[in-house]
Amino acid sequence: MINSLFMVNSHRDIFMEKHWRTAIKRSVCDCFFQALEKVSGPEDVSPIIVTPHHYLISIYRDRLYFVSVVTKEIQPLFVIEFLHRIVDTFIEYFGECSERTIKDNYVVVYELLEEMLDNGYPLATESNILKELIKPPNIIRNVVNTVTGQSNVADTLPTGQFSNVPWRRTGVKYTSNEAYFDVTEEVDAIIDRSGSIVFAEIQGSINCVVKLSGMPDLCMNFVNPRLLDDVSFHPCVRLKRWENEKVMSFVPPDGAFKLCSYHVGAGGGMVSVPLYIKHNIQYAGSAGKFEVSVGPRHTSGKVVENVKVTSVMPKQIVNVNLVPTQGEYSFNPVTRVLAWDIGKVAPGKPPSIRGTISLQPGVPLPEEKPSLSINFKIQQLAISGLRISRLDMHNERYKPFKGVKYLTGAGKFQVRT
Amino acid sequence: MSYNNDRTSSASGDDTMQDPSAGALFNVNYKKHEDLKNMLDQNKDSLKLEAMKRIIGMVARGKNASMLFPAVVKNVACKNIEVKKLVYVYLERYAEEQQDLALLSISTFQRGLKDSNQMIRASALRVLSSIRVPIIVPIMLLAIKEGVNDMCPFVRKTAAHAIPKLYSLDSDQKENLIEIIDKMLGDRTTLVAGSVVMAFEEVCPDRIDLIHRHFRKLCSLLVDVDEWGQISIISMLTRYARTQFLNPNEHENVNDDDDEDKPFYDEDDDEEDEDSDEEKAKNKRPKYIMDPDHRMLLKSTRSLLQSRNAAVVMAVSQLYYHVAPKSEFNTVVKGLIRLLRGRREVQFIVLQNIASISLKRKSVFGPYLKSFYVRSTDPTHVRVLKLEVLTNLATESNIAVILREFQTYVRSSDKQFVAHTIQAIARCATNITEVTDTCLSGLVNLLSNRDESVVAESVVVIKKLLQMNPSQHCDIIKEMSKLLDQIQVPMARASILWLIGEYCEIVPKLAPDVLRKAAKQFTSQEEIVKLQIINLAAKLYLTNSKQTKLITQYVLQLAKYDQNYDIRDRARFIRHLIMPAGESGDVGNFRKSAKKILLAAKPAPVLESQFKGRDVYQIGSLSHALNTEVSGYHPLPDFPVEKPDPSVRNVEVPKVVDIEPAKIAGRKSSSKKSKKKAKSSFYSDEDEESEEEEEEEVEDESEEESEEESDEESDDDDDEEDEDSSETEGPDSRISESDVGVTSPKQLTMSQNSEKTSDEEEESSEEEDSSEEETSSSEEEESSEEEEVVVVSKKKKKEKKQQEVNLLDLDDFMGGSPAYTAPPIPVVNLLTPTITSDLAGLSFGGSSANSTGGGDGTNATASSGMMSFVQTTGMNLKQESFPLLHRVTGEGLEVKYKFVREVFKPNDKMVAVELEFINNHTNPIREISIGDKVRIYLLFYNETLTTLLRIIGSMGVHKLLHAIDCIQ
Repeated sequence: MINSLFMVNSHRDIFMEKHWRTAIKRSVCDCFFQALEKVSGPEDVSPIIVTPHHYLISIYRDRLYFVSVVTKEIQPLFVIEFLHRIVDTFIEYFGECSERTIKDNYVVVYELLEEMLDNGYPLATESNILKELIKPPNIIRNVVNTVTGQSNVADTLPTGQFSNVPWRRTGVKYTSNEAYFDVTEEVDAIIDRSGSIVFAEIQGSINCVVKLSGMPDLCMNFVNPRLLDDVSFHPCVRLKRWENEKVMSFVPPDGAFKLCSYHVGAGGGMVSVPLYIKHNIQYAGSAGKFEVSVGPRHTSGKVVENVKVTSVMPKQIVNVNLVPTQGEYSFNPVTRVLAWDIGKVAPGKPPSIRGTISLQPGVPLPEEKPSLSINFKIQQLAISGLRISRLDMHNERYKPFKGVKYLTGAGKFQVRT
Repeated sequence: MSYNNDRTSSASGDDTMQDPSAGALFNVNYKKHEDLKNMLDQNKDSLKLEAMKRIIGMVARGKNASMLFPAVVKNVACKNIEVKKLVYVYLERYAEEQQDLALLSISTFQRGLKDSNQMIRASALRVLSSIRVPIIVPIMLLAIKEGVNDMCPFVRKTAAHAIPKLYSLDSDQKENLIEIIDKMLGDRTTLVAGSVVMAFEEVCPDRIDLIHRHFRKLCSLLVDVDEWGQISIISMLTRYARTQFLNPNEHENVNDDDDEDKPFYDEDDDEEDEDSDEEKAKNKRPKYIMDPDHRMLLKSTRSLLQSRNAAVVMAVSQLYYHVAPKSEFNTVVKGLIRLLRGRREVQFIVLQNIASISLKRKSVFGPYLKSFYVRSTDPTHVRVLKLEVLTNLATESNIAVILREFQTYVRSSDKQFVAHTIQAIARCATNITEVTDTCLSGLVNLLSNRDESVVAESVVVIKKLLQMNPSQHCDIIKEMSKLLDQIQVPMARASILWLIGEYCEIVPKLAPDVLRKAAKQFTSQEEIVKLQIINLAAKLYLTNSKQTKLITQYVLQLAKYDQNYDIRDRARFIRHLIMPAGESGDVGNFRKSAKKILLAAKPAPVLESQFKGRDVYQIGSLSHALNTEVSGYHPLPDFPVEKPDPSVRNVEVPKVVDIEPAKIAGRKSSSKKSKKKAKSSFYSDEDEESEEEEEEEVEDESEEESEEESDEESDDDDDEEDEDSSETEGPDSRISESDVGVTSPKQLTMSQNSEKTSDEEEESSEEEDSSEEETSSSEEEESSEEEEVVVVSKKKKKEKKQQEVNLLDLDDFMGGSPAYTAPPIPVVNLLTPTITSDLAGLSFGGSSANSTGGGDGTNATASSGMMSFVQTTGMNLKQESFPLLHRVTGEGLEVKYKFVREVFKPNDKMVAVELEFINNHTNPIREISIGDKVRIYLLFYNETLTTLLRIIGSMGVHKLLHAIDCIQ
């Protein structure tokens, strides 16, 4: 189980440590620092590092390393998931997870870590329970606490702990009862140089903000539930009901949460890619040709917004001189990042950019051509075609306000040239 | 705040701790802590809190705060909860170092263990077990034993967590602890189950026998246990299954690996073999039938594949890999692939495991090939693993696609990745003979690459490939010998030299020249290159001594004085082997054997995955990730040869497990025997047949549902009997609800009281009803009353169990929300006879027919109770509703009622009965009155009851005074 946790910043300082069993000297992290030195990027360090007596399992998030020390056999994923859960909790409490916020709120952080793990075993990780135990800091509460002498720590057990719905606290009250659902989809694609799609899939998720009083029991129906054959759910979703009826039935946690995430297109399913990209990049001597055009397709009449093409040029390229028909471009000669901000792409004349690139003279031509990554957004469209048909609420008598929003964006959308 | 405030001063203080010579500073530091001590000694909580916060700040930064121990430990009894918590945190950190002082705090914890607040009980137990002071082991043991019996499941969970702590402190307590674990395994609360299994895994993972009785329960609870508990339960059950069930793959085990590895490219020759083998196997062994418990385990874990927690998905996947029949492994693949889109660390671990699995079961990952394509944003170690998996998955049919993908990778700017890609290409080339030549020519093209490391890597793998069939590739060898002038990477140079030495007979003219060049540069080369030059010289000397004798001697001479003793050794050895001094006869023999030694035919190297053989470790374990056995790893046992006795898992009262909610949902509304009788008497007067039909429909539905979901609904031969689940809400169910922690003892006693009274009522009403029935009805199911009573009591027992299990079932609360919100309403059904009779006796305004006269007597007291209507939404669909007033009798007004098992909101001393009014008449109804005093105005929603409108209202019925009234 998890013996200790060290938080390390990008300067390789250990700025916080917590031990759940006998304290371990912070020198164990030396092995971790050695491993850090060997790799090129901060992401490249292996999540598991062996030291003479301990094993270090680490994650890298928000430019911080969270290094946990284990001494015995344990599933590495268990630890990794847990570390991520810790960071998620910090973000929920403090809005962000940075060295500064952690240091500023070190008492809350310590109390949280104390509640989340007991002897290295997870104890309470559900954010609703934690929030009842330890109230998230905010300015008003700080003032009130100083004046009245109240504390941030609850002296009774959270009610959620005992129920079958540990993720929801009891006695929630709102004057306006609202439930918002965002269906967000991201298209991941690799398009090869000939323009054919090597790989494309959609990663979707339904994020909710539910502010409903009491114990509402929600039931979400889909127009085409068959699309969702690869789903992972928040624990509140009744899996049996989903398996049998393809209906998402759940008692929601209070506030914002991710109801489910799903994937469409893995294993051979067809995914429509909303943009096509034509490109022609050539090198010749000390100059080269660069030409890219972007056009919409399969967007069911919706406008593609925020289209942006970025590319990291090979190091031989000194400068570019391009003319876009729409939007503007920038080129940073130091990082060699070319960014072309197009904006909206409507059907009709596809925007294009063309011009010359100047290469460093006297150096052999680059072998690789820069791959393009594309960003875009389509409002009110879930590219997979998923639609929520209805949402019913049982168990409570008021009428909630319900809202659904669809949004499609680009994930890792990459064009090889 | 203070975290930064005291930073400078305490930092300097800390320095002085390490540097005793700085005495003056030490004093400052001493005073500084004096300050904190003073604050802690004050009476003001706010000062104490401030001091504790600063101390915790020191602890958090890893500064030594142990000298404050005496001051801190005094505050362990502080009333302020936040101070107390921080003191606890401090104690857990330092008590181990200051054992004697820590003992001062023990009595506080012991008092805390008896506190009425569950939170304080739990945290006292937690700190007591966390301070790691060996002297208090007996106290800890006692505290744990008490905690195990605690009413509150959270305290029990804490007790479970304390078990491994005690064990690590004093392993002599093992026997005691096992006893406790054995007891706790019987706990039916989902909150506790996961923690107990964690304790089991830590203390006595080999005591599989303890699990038998709880196996089925654990399987059925699994869905509702928290994520972390699920992980440990699944991994424990994996080991359990490996010892208790037969190998489901045994009958196809005959050619296990071949089966999986070859189907694509060896299809033709293998097919028949396989068939015959399988047939043989079938003939040999009786057909394998999976143990129902084995099946249950697989079934109950499957839905967890949709967990958001990657570790849970991995746990289920490894369970399926190790325990399920091969054909079912497909089901988990999708889940595994999904994890690949997770975070970088998750990807890394999952890819490692997939790499291991894909060696054995490549076909299942075939459809997901593209998920392993490398993205430009992947970190290097993920890329390398993806290559590994792609290579493992390569078959004759998809090799073209994979090679095309590899071609893209070779152009990448990440040179380490390119090197791995080249190795991957080589592995594909050796594994799939059809593409060897294509790969080889592709690799030769890479030799003209500008990047030296790429060329070097290609040389190394080409060398390996050439060994498979050297004579055909004479020109490649020539090509490579030319490269020797350009390449400086030692490994590549060594490879070329070795290649030329090995195949010097194929390139007889070139070889001496190469040696000549190499000899010139000998001194400036790396060790491996020098060794290969010696080798080359020796081989050439043996085959072509005329041309190379002098060069060889020259090389050996140089090597003789080399700095490296390895090279000197080698040179001496070679010299004596090929140029022995001595008699001529011996020399001839020597040379012959030297030739045999140096130029022996060497088998081509087999390029293997580094993941080969890793699957001896359990998939998903740390040992697997590191490929070494980590301490605390329990190897997976092999399946037993003989089938172990499955009856060990039987619990005394069968059918405890696996009850589905629908069944209860159907049942919870079901009334008791007497109620049913009342009903039948109600129907017996009029419309009996049509009513009965309707009712049966409802019943059938609920039954269908329950049958669908529950596997073992075996003995509900009689609808009526099933209906008779009178005591569903009996005392036992209350106990189980207190398990869930909602009822306080007060409530318990209260409900027991009410139960007594209602029991009495029951008796009386039973008598009344049965006498009624005797007179009015002639139904054939009416057997002697005694018999029925027996049946009822039997049912009682069964219901108890079912109820307990079901309270934990997630699905339970969709039917009746009170299971987790409101305290239990124990008396609903106990009251039903009177209600029914009451209701039956009510006469509705506008309806001329008086349904029964039975309830008239009770109706007289109608004013002492209370009833009101509240509009409800149409939930509780699963509960059965019973007709109260038929539309024909009611002249178009139809009324149905059902018991919702809910507290009546406006008054918690009453229970709710839901009435549903349906107007089948063409005229709207404005007002419904019951008897003289009871009036229902349809005002509350400002509407009249128009045609075919359904309105649902709920009505509170007083628990003790069984009469109804109506406000508004």
